[in-house]
Amino acid sequence: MPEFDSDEDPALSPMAATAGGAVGSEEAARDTTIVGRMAAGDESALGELYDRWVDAVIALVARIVRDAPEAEEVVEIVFWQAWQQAGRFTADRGTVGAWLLAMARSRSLDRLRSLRRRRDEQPADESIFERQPAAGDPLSNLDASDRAAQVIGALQRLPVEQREVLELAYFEGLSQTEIAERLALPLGTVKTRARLALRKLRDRLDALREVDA
Amino acid sequence: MSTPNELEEVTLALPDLALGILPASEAERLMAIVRLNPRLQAELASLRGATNTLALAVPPAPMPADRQQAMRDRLLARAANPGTGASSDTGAPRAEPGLRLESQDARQAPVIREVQVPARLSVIQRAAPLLAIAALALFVVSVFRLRDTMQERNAARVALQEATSTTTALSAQLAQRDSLVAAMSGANVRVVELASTQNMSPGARMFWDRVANRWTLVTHDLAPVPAGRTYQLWLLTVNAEKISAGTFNTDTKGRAVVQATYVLAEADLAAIAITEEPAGGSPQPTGVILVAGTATR
Repeated sequence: MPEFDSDEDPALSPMAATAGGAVGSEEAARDTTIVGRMAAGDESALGELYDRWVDAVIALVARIVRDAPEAEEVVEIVFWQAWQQAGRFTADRGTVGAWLLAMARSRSLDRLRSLRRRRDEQPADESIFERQPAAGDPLSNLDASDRAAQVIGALQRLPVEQREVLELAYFEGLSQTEIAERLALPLGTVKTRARLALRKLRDRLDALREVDA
Repeated sequence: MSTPNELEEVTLALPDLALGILPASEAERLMAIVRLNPRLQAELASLRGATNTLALAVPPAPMPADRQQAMRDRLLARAANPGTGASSDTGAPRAEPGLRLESQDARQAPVIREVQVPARLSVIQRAAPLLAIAALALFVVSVFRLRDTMQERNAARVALQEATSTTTALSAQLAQRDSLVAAMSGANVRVVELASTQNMSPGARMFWDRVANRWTLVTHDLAPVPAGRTYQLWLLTVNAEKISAGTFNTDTKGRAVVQATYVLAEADLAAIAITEEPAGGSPQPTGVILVAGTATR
């Protein structure tokens, strides 16, 4: 299955420009400047990029890999890859945030597949939207930026079965055939759910952006 | 040139491409058509943007501050000196060019023998073994002292790291509790009491921060559901719409604190209910309403 990675994909949406910890066009421009300095060999710029994005990268990697020591290794790999490939980044293909998070997802899925082969175990299927009361601290992991709240709100309005397909595709990196096997559903049903889910999510986020504007 | 049928097929499959769930050969075949059509390219970019936003829907996963800082230091060290690779975290000191030269100079000490020493130095030469023993003894003592000092310093560093980790963890817990208090109090918070519809004593209270759109549900005496089942929270609107606000389970004492963010106009909320559903939740309620409360104003 092809993996979406920013350096393989010339078509990133402007929507991604608002993704992550550094929100807004000024912040996106600052990110672009930082990556430009990285490309010129200024290692202090790598530190700045790290400070601005490490929380978002850690959160995404940890969600996919689900193993703290492995996740930390992947996070370091992602930022090192950003340093090495800074010269290949072009702002007209998308924001730094989208570029970085796409690399984080891609490297995380690589590691997840490697771990599965090593452990020969099935991944957990806990929904990211399921809030189980954790022993001792039931309120962990609840903070979210406004943008994240919008995304979560839009996802929560999707039917559970459509949301599930999106999660398996994005966070588990499964193909539509693998999703059908996992959920014991006909392939056509998986296709229908994935298509409806993503179009609805896009439309709702577009509507929210228009309201914000 | 693509046929109308091909264009329709690709248009339908654009979400599959955006999500990356197609086999490679199929994706490449469809991409060949997309590349020739600006409308399809724009639609695909838009869907990929929506896909990318899923990265934001993950809960924060904070890394201890000391490890985060250590990772930052390693990255910057590698960037400054890429030839050293990732081994800088092994603790082995990295040789600095200046030090290396100094060391080389030291190794060249035998050059001293080229100095023509007058015969009167023969006394010193005779005392040389004693001086060497004294110097060796001094060196050994110094080494032991240095080792003790380094051990003390390492112990202090470990203690500091542990204290920092504890402080960070406590700060995070405090921030979470502050967040909970804020979500359950304040001028914008509306409270909805949920009472049992059964002959049991469970109940719940919903705190709705209408400005932050944050919903905080606190349950009590709600027995945990067995494996394969889950509680599901519903927001019932005045238009009879049933909106799932998430699934949860309670602890052994029947308690749970559930938070969700959802935008809903105040006038639209009719009631709040909790049902028991199959694990993973249901699109619409299928179980009996266990606890419910109406949104009276």
